[in-house]
Amino acid sequence: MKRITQILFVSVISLLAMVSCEKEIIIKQQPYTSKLSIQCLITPGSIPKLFLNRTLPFMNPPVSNREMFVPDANVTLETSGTTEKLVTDSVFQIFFGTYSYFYRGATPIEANKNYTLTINYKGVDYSATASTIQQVVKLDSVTYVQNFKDIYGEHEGVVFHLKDDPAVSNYYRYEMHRSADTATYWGENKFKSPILKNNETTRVTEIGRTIFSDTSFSGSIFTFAIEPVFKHKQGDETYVMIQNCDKNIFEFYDELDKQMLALKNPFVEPVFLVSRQFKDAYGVFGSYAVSDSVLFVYPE
Amino acid sequence: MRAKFKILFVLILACTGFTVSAQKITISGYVKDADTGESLIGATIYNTNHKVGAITNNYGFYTLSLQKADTLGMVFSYIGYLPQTKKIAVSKDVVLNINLLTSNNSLDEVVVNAKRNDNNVREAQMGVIDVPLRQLKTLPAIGGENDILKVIQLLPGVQSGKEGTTGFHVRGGNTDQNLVQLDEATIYNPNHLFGLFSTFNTNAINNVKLIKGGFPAEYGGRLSSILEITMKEGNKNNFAVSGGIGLLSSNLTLEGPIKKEKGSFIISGRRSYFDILAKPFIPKNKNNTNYYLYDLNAKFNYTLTDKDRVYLSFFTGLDDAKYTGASSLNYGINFGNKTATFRWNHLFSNKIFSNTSLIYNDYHNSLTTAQGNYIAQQYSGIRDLNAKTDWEIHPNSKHSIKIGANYSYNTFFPATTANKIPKKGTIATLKPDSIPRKYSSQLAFYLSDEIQFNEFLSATIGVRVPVFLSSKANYSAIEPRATLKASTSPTSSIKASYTEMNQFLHLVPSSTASLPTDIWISSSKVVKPEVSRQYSLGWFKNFDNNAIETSVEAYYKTMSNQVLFKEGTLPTVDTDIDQQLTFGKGESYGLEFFAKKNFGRLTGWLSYTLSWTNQTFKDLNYGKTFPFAYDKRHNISVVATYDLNKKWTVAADWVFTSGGAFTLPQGKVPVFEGGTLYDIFYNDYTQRNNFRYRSYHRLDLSFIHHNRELTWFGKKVESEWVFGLYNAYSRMNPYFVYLTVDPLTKKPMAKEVSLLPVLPSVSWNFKF
Repeated sequence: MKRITQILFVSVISLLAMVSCEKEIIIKQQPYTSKLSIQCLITPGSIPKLFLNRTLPFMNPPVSNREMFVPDANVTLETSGTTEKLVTDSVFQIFFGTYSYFYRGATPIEANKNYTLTINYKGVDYSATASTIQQVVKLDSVTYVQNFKDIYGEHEGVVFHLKDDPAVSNYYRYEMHRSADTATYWGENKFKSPILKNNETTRVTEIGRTIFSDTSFSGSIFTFAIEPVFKHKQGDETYVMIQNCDKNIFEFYDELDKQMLALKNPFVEPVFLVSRQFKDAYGVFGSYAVSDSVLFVYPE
Repeated sequence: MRAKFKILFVLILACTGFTVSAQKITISGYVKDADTGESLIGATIYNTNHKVGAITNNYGFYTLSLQKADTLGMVFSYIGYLPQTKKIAVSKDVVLNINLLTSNNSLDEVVVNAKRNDNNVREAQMGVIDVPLRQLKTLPAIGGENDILKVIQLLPGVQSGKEGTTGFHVRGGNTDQNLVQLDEATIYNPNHLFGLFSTFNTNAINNVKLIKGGFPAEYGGRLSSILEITMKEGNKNNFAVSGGIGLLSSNLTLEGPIKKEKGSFIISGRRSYFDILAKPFIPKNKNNTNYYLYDLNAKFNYTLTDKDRVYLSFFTGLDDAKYTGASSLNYGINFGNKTATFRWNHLFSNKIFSNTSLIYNDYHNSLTTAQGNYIAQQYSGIRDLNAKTDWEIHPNSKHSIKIGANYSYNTFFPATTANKIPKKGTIATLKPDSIPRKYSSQLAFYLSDEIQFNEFLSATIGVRVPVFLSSKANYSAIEPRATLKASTSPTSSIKASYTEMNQFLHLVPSSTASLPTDIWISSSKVVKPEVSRQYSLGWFKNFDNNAIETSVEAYYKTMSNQVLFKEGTLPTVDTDIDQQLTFGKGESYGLEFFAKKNFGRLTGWLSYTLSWTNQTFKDLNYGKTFPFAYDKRHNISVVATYDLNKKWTVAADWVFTSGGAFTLPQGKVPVFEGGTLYDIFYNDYTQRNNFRYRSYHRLDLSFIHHNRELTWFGKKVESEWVFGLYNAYSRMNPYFVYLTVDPLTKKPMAKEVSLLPVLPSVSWNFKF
């Protein structure tokens, strides 16, 4: 009996020991040189806005938007011999309860023009060009689907239908405007506005996560479904439109999308961000044309 | 190219240089174990008159041509056996079969006048290690399970992969660059899961040889190593039963004569019962954790005539595991090998030995794993039909020629998908029968000559010509193989080698997933054959009548057409895997120190490897060179087995390896106006494999109590209790690292997962 007890004791110890364990470890942050993060998307009829922030060491604690923002750069936008200096500004995003900081111009962007963005920061010039030659695409219809499947999983979604122009390369993503209230939540973490109270509402804008290239459907009817970020209820009204973007916007956001997929899905190879338009900085200066808006009411 | 033709020219010259002298006689025969009739592979035959020798081949056969003399002094020796000396007076060719007795009385320092085995100094072959079976059976292992692959990971130049993953790495090569063969059949996944158990039942093993450089021409198809495992043939004289009962598995081996001294069989099986024992102890939230394995080896052999022997070997093994563990480990895996080999040895004469084999191989690996909100499924299937013939021709004592051909027909069916787990509905599973098949053939011819120029200088010059054929692409190559040995004294030599290898099968590893998510594919129009070129130089020195062997080897190896997945690759069922790959090159160099004691109460070895391995891919890491994931700078192993007395043996091993490399982001990039579903920060990776795991070290102990006085039903039974302690001081070695966010401070933090703490074990082995 004693022998059996001894063997059982050893067995139990061995079996219980077969469970892995985790512990927090200190990762020694390697020397990291902060770079600029630049996003400036121009569209005819709108004033130009530039989001200019700095990258941070990964293991640093979170900082506010203000601390990331680079306020002391000299930013200019030039077209047809005219140069406009962009100035810093901010807007309070009611839904998120945070300020958004950016540089803005005063002159609306014009179609069929070439623009040059120049950022001078700490004696270094970061410069890129964009042309506002994109055609406004006609959004044929917008419908709703209870369940569709993409690489991100199964979702309910809004379906866009449009006809592609075969003459040029096009890159599409959706844009949506709607009201948000205290019941509206955002994203997988179900973020709710800390500011809105009672029956207060605010306007929110959503830009599509995925940007589609027309390579496989050039000249054809293109249909794509998206899962909105802001959650809705039956009867919610939204205004949806399609952005027809240039290649620079496509390459930048497509790379971000791939990286986000890799971050969420451990079976996908990690994606390294590449400096494309700006040497030693990450970012995009691109142009897009936006379609007329279509009213869409959530049927459920 | 010019060098290859030069080597061919030399080879032709060498082959035409030999002559048969009328003043020579040939002594040939088989060397076997006196008790069981097992062939002794690598036994030494040495002639004291002319100071020349030979070693037995994989079937225990030897042949030696000598100048005639009134009396020839012959010494036959093998580690673990008492050497035999014979003085023979012969005037014509003679067949001399030798049966050696085991050296049971290892406690006494046996005074041997005869020369001990000094193949490591005398032979031109370098980069080869015969794995000592004694250490194989005594070294501590997890759950008391003897493990060939755990032991070879203690040898210089060999590194283990991650704990819990399959495979090993030799001189900077990836796990698919090792050819593991059991009785000539390729084993694609030679480990059982978690590395807890060996695929190979050590009770059924006769010989294990690892070649990591200076590859002989008869071997090919992999860049980095050949692990050749030969099964026992079975006791030709008596029926015998041996087995073991352990905490986690039990094994049983039956062997005996089919006809005494003519034929024998051996059947060896093993099954784990962790699944049965563990169930009551597994917490409810991890109730899906389960694991079982089995393997079965069988071999039959028969001597048809004095010149003909046939062998039939079978192997089947399976792992089935489900695991619900730490937040990043949930999976189900089922993989296994099935092989069958038929071989025919024929002696054309006492100088020409041939072996012809037909081999069938069936491998599958099915993996389903969930990590976070994502699920991945993967299936890798391979079927091979293989026919080969190998000839050994010994025209005289100066030349040993090997020539042969090998044809295999391969069928691959890989598939892989990764998706978000749906909120509702079922997940479509991969069906093996519906996966498209890809077919290819491989053909190889080889020729080599081991030339003994004189007592001090010898060389092996060879060439292998592999050919790959498929509907989409054909490839061929000429692989020169050359080794040179110069004796600097009776107990030391310097050796150098150059080899080229081509590999038409590839295992594509995922860089980030925690589990074996690698898939096998064959070469194609897009996936070119991998090629390696290896230079090595070594100094070999023995002490104390070859009781202690030492060596220092330096190597430099280049590898081209290495394969990895492209960044951002999301495997789906419909995508062509070839289009998801990117190609690059690798470079590995290092220094290996090895000291081994083979005789006496204390046996074991000490090994130290200093190495570097880097890779360069134009599509990865901005085209800059980065460290290989298993680039581990220092690798130390200390292995010892000591016989305290007749009843007790203790064994220990201590291993240390520097941390391997992994990728973590250096910075975070804020992006606005993205409108994505997720956070607005992205990772700034500045370099691939830019961080290092903590170093790995572990001490294992085992205590063996021998009992030779047991009697069952009037039969004498040898038994032993084995008490083991794996990871004796419970070092929580790093398995992998992942990033998460502190829920309170929102600060990024890193978490390290460790797999195996201290694991005690006890098992009881018997033999009668």
